[in-house]
Amino acid sequence: MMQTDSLAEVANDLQGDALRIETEMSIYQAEALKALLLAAIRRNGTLALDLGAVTEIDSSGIQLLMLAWREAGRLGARIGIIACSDAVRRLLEAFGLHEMLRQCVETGESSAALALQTEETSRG
Amino acid sequence: MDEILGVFFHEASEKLDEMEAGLMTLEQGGDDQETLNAIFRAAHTIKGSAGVVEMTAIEEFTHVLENLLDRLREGKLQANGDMISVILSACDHIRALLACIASPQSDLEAALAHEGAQLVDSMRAWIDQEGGQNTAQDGEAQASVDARPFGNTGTVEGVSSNPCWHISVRFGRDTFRHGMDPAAFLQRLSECGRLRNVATLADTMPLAEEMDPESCYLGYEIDLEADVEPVTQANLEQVFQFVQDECALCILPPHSPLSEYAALMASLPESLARLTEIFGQSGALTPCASAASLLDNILLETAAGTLTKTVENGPSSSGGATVPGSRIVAAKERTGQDTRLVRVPAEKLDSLIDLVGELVIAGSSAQLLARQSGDGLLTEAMALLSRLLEEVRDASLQLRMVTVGETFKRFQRVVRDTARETGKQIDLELRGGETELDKSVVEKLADPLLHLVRNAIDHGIETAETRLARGKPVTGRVTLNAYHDTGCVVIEVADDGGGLNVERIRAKAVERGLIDTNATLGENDIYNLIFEPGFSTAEQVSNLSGRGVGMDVVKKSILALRGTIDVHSSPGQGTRFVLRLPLTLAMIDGFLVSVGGGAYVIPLDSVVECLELKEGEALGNVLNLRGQPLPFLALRDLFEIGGAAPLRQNVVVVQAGGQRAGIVVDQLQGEYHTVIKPLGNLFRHLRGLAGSSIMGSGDVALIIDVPSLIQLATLAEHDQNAGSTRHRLENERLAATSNP
Repeated sequence: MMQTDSLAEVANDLQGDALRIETEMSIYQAEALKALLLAAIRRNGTLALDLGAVTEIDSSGIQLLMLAWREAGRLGARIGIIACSDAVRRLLEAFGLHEMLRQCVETGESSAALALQTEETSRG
Repeated sequence: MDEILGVFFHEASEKLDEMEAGLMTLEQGGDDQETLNAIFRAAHTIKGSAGVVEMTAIEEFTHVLENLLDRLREGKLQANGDMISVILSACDHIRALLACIASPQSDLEAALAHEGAQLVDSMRAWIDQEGGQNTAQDGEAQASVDARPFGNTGTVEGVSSNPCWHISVRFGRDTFRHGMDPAAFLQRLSECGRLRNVATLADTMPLAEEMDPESCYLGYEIDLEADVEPVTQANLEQVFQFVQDECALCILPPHSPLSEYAALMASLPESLARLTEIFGQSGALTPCASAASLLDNILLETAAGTLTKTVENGPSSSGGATVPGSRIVAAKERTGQDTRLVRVPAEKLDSLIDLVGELVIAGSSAQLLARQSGDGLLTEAMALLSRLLEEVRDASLQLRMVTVGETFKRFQRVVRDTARETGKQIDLELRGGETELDKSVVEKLADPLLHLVRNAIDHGIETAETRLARGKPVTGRVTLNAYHDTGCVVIEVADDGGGLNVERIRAKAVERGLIDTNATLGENDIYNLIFEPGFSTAEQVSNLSGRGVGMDVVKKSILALRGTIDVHSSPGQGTRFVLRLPLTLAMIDGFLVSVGGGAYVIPLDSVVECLELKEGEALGNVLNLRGQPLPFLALRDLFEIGGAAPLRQNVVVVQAGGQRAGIVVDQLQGEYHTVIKPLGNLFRHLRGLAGSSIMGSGDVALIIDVPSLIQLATLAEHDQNAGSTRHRLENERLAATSNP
């Protein structure tokens, strides 16, 4: 979709669309998070996830991220993680979902948002 | 990298052992398909791992070997003696290559390359021979002979080159609701080995609206590489034991047949294209049998109805089904042998035994204190504790015990090769292979035994003509026998050959200046001359033995193991070497005695009885034991311990190797368990002492070497003079210290 966007443009794009999650991403929040994520994707077709404050995440949280990626792919929306905590990074790496992390080089509250996720990588 | 190499070396040498064992079976019992498959698989594993660690020389060589084995396996070639010899040499060659990589030597490398080329030529000759036949039969085969390592196109044959375990799991819908987290299982898997490739799949997740965030749609395709510690099917299954009822789990061992991968893929809910992509990444499917061709095969087979993709009952929909049972059973059978064994690094075991040793010492000390305190309850509790300590010690020592069978089996190859070289027909009989011995003893025993077996074939067994002339069966017989005997393990190497030639040994000994021309020696003494350094009676120095290094080295290594070696021979009937070895090098059950304030430990196994030394019973060096003469030694005299003997002295009657003797001591202290600490290098040559031990009180107790004491006592009996015994010992002590 947007292979030619420069990093700067992407970063700008993302400023307004960043979704910062400040709860745990576990089975207890799954229902709420699902609604939040899907709504965010549908609202403006671009979703920059700031997971820098997610101190805990379990497999259901990852599953939701996978759902969000798939949904974004289906709708042609752009999605990417611009910041993530150690916990999130560790689990994504353990699950072999390195693609999701491609846009996020720094851990924690990174302001340097990088290239966005496109459809190609949405299948995890 | 070193770690991987270590694992590779270990695995390769194990696989080579397997191949050799298989080849021996093949040679003896015709070609049975299972054996051929096992040999092929072993070769294939070596090739695969060699590729992983980038040892191209081994990989290429093994590739040719594998091709030859593949022909044998498919029945396109028939194995014969020559072929097996070449394959065995090929195994040796791989071993040599491995050794060469472990410690590089340039001149050796060149020689190996030459040897390798020759072997490859001979193997190629057979492969081509088959190829030629095949071309005659159908034109297309020849071209693909070297190009295809796996099976034919059209059916899913061959094995995966994936050196990792492949774990395929689809979690049940209710996994989260049951409080389980797939991430935890990944974590536990990663404790079993290194997770090479993890692919998380959520393809069965419904559309966003219908997706229930509290249901689990996750599945994983994982490649797990075993770390240093081996992984078994059971280990991996155990990881999933809490969810086994509600997940679809399939575990494929390394190098599983491609057909199993195909069956797995067919059973999974995801699309074949998607699976092919994942499996292709994981390396389960090699470029040769790449995804595309495998996919074709699956489609073909699916079409043919051999594999039915069960969507209805598949794991995806029910969340509780498992992959077809038969496959899991088959996989289990293959790894069944592994599941019963746990491989533990030797250092871990050693440190455990060390600790247990310390524990036993501390326990003895505590028990001593308890007894002194006179507190009945405490003494009782300590008694229970020390009984348990004993059991722990026995159990941990048991961990080090291995059967000698493994070592014995290796000799089949030796006998076969040696027999071929000498042109003799030899049967090897193995008995008592289940006898257990300390691993370190077994390891150090391999070389001496090898020498004895070779000697038996080379020098012991006569040529076929001689045997016929003597009215013996043409086929000679070499027997390896192991059994337990009073606290030690006896290993016998016997042959039914001509026996030792007393006259020749005598003549040779005179020639070498070992004995005087007119020395009077008993038969046994003459036999024992063969253990003297530099003694060799072979008239013709053969390739196998008779280089003059031999029996003395054998004897030395057996003595180093605190063992003894004896030779028995009867002319025309054969020769028998009897090796006696301690069960373990680490600990003994001892009998504590004291002489003049010093403590001594006599190995309990050799103690027959204890009695009081009564006036008038002792005559010179012989004691009257219920009418029987018993040679005896007084430790006080032997070790020149000062101080006057107490009024009452005791005699400990000991036995070793069929001989008895008495040891006169001051006091008997009772049973005592202890860890043997070796004496320093300086005292290595001391006779009469086997080691030392630290007692609970912190004092040092010396451990008596019973066989050598008995020898001294019997000598003393002959000499009828205690002084000369002491003198002899003194001389030896001097010799030992001046010759460290």
